[in-house]
Amino acid sequence: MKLSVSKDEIQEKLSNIQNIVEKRNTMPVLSHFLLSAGKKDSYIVATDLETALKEPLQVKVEKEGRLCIPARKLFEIVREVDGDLSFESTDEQWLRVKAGVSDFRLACLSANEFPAWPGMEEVENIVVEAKTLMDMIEKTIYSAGESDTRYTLNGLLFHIKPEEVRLTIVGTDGHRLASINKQIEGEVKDEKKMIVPRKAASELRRFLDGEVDKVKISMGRNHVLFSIGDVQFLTRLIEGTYPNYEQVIPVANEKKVSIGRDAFTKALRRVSIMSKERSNAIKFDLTEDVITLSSSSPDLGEARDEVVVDYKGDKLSVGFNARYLLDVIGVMTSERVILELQDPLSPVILKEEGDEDYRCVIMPMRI
Amino acid sequence: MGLIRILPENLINKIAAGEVVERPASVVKELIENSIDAGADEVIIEILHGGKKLIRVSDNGIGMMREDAILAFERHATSKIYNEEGLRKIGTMGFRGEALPSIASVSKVLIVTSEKGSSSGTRIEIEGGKILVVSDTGPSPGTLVEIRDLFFNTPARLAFLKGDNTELSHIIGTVESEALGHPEISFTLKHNKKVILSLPKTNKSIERIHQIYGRGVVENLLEVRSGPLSENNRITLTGYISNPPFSRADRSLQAAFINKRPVRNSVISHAISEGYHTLMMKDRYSVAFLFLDIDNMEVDVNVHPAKREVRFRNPSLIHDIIAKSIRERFSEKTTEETFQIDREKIDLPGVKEAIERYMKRYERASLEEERQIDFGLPLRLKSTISKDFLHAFESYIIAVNKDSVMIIDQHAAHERILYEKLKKEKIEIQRLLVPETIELSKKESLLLAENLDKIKTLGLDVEDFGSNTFIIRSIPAILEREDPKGLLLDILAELEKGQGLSRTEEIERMKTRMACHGAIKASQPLNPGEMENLMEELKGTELSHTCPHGRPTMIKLRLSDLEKLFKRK
Repeated sequence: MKLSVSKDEIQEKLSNIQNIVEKRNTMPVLSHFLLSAGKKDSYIVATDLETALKEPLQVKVEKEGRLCIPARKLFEIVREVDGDLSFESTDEQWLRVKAGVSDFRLACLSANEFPAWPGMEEVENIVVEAKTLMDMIEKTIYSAGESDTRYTLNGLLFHIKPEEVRLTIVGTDGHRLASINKQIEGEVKDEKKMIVPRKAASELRRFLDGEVDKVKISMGRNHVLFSIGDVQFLTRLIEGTYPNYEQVIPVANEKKVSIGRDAFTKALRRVSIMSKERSNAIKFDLTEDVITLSSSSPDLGEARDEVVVDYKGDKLSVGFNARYLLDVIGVMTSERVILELQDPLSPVILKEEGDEDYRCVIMPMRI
Repeated sequence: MGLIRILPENLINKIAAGEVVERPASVVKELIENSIDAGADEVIIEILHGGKKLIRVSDNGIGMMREDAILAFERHATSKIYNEEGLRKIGTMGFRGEALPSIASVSKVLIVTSEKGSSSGTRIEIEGGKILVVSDTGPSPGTLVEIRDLFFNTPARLAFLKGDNTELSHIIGTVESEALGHPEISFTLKHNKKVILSLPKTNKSIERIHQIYGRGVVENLLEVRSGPLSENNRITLTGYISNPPFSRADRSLQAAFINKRPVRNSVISHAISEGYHTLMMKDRYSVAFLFLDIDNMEVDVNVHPAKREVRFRNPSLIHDIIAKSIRERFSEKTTEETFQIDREKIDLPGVKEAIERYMKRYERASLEEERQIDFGLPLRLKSTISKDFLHAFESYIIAVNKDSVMIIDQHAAHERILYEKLKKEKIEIQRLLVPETIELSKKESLLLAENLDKIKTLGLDVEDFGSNTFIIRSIPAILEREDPKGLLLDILAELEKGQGLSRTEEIERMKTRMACHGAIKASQPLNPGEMENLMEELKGTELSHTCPHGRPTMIKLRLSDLEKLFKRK
């Protein structure tokens, strides 16, 4: 194998795979990436057996070849050297890396040791706008669980119903839930429910804000493949049953409150200063046109603040974990947010004003 | 006349009753074992008022003829052994011939039995050990024994019995453990006419475990199997053990059976812990159902009148078989279940060899590693230094201030902080958006159903959904990151242990347990901010020097202590 590559190109492509290559070194080959240099096209592949990434690499190939190269070490080299690089290897053990007068010899593994790209069966395809998918992940990922024993909660649910040309993405940790529903292209024969691991969804975001505007999602039985231009991002799905999220979202909450997002955020942040550390509990006293927020901690003291709102109706007092509210309004972009409540123990819905596609549900606290 | 005299028979029986019959559950045990020895495949147990009023056990076994039925109430009368040789290889559940006369001496007994194939039956009534009536009745299959008014003539014993529910819970435990050893027999338990347990016969132990403990437990079990070792050594072990981290807070779900007899034995308990060595966290216990098949010559069951204790002729052999089988099950698992799945799901040319090469390297590495680390920790725990703290072995925070070095146990410290919060502050409750359902065993269900209100004061809003299923609707906000099911099971274990304590004491203990459950674990990485927080909060607690269990949270080495240690002073 003999090729040359620009520093910017290889640095960008290597930085994309750093989170995927295994750092814990459980299987040596997984801390390597596969470089495949061909006269027609060249690409690199990285995997942790859970997710896999294949991205094209712009190189000038003099002699074709394939080799497993240690990802971390090459990345460090690329960052430190000046100017473009040339790679050369004569066997399956060593790679010579040169840049200007800098010269490295890097121990490598044979390309045959690299895991094969998983085969996918019974695949169905849909297409989503990259920006839309990015937005959908951003708006749900914060409420997914992290290392929860109910392992299906550690992922995002991708749900497509056959009669609708829409994709719903849901995240929940059992205390709160976020659900977003958007238009797609393409149809599915049967209802599809896939649970995409949180880590994979988070990693996928990296490829969604580039120049490519459409993402093809190929859904198999055990895997899902996202094709973003020439980049292929594949992840294994979490097996198991996701909670019935549609049942959890209330449909008839009667008390509707409209609040300026900015003022709401500021008041929440101020009042949560005095809330108890772990529970972040704050109390809402809702009256006509005003919400009074308060918190207290026996050792620290108390806080109280008010936000002017649009509300006509009965009084209501309810407790919340301030962090849950801040997480939700942190990803919202509309000027005003809508809060729909029922009673002190029932779930509450948050929406962006004028948008019915994005719904967040939070369970109140009893304080 | 001298002072020493032979005690009358009736008094001997009463004394023996003290050993055999401790509470209604012991009566149930003796009667069930008689039914089992009679070859029954259906046993029905009916109880009134926790067994204090009535215990009725009926079976479809071989029954007894009239003479035998009368003789059965003579002390040391038994059909089960004939000579000394027989005692050394007992194959039946009972053999001492003590149980029936002992029970009869402290209760009112009715027995109705007819020998299989006979055209008539016998009916005997006994009160306080005296036979009142013996009469003929029509034929009825098997034997029915009724024990009324247990301890009616020994008020001291009667006074020691607990409430109906506590006694019932012991009876359930007894029936469950006999039933686990005999899946081929169907058991029905009724209390105050209500069916409490219904266990249809089956030919698989795992099926019986499922009937008793539900899906939640069975799903997490792995099968173990070992032996027979050789022609001369026909010890076989079969059973099911939990797949870590699935565990309980006590040993209540560890049961061992020797030739189908439920036993408690410290050798076995120790062997289980040993088998799990390093796989279980401190103060967590695995679930294990182990069935040992041993030549009757190898084991002495005649140690305790209730036969709960056994002695092995070769305890270390038994210990090794159990510990080794468990250990091997898990070493298998790491290669098989983690790697094979990967090999299957991703078709990997060349990777098979790579994995094998890696496994070889890994095996070598792990051997070397174990030798290096001499403080018994299974994992290589990192120590990190930040601006203010040294985090040693991911378990201890070491800080230096003006005149001393402080070593803080992160788990104990956090436990203390949480405990004081739970105790002092009003418990805030986070409702669950997706309620959790949990399936429990009958015994756990009863205990939980009885304590729902107490648990509610702790922030766990649990609802009885019927048929041993419960719904958890909220958890204390302070423990919002915890798994609600695990939390509830831990609290149940505490309730089980604390039966008979006052309400306040019980709640106190549950709070301690909750604090322990929610606290940062040892060998958990922390960032400098988290450490700082922990130190800050610990300062604010009242008894910052010990955790709620009384272990120290910190050790302080003053400069003068160091100087002494280095012999500078």
